[in-house]
Amino acid sequence: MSHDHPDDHSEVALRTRAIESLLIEKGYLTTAAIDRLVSAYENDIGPMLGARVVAHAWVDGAFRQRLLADGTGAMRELGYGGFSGENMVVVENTPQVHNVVVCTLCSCYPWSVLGLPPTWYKSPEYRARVVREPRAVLQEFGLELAAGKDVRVWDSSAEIRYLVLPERPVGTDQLAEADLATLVTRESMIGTGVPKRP
Amino acid sequence: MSTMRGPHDLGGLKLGPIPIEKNEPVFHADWERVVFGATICAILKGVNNVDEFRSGIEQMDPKRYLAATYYEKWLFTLEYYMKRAGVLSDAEIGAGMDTWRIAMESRPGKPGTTGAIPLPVREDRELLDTINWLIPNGASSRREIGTAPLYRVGEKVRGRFVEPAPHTRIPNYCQGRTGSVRRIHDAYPLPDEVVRHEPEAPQYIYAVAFSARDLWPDAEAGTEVLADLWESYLEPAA
Repeated sequence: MSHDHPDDHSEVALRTRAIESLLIEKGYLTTAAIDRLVSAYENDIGPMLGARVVAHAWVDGAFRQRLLADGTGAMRELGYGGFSGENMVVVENTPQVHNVVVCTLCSCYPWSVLGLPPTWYKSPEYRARVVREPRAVLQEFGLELAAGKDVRVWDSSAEIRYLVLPERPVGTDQLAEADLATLVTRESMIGTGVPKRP
Repeated sequence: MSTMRGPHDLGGLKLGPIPIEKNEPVFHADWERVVFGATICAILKGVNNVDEFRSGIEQMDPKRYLAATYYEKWLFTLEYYMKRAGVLSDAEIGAGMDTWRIAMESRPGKPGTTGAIPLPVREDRELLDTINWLIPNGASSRREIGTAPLYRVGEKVRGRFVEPAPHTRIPNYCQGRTGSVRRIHDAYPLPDEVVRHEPEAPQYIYAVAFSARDLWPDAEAGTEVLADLWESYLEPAA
């Protein structure tokens, strides 16, 4: 059982264990349910899905247009969607505009195409600062934006989940879609990074 | 100028460096996996809804909120609603913890043996089927409503002052501030009403663009902040 970890003696682990046992006993939980949920987000659903969406948009201009007009519908064409990605909006980076996504109130994130969010995305520091000083925050990720570029910070404060469509790196004209997808990082789809160079 | 804000409403605060972890795993400990799964199951079992889940976290003491990890916050809200529903009590949790503590301490350092108290065995086919449906299909609260949006793209609007408790989704930084409608989304139930179990009255959501300098005078130039705001959070700003 993936969560049956006997060596963690911390108070929070102990407390969780006690609650888990009680909730199973009372009919609110099963170990199979936990395993199914955990396995989905540890093995099947993660940034590789979003990367395929981005790579497809880079090679197929009509798909890119549909993706920007109706993110949810276009992702469905590729078979992606579902829990915490029910209503998607895709925002496009251009030479003039860089987009960044945050949830200042909690940690809303497009699970269906990026999986569960990393700790930095959930951190009070990121949530507090990126709306006020995005360039300073991006520098901490090693990203230096060109001077004069406008920055748009999308606060996912309601029911819509956002994905950034990053700019296709130069020198990738010859690459196949599957190879392009390997350049697309999680950070580039949130806006705290840009795709890797080939 | 500003109204009260909950401990979770962090936009614009000046905090420290971003904690960036290289090659981060999806979960950092097994108890996190259990809290993740149990929280979603609680929602599927109708103990609380997603808006209440967030509202529960917002009841945390601000110091505790800022110090807690993500899944510690989830555990807090899971317990909060399980106790409210009468499913769990502090006494039961305490007794359960003592039992596990004794079992662990009596078998120091023997891997595998501290699982010696087995978890109860239960099957729940319906719960598993629901999860298998939920993951690929989701649970959208998007609604079709017969009325047109009150505001149009480009129109100037101002964020209203809204009491943060028990729950609202207008960030403090938008309240009393003027922005411009950038996009009109579909209609969704208002979380403020959902947590109060009021009859559903879905409203349009607007992506409202604010100049960051209008929100904080020392914000970086050339920055726009776009918040998604329900219609009743807004008023016309001529």
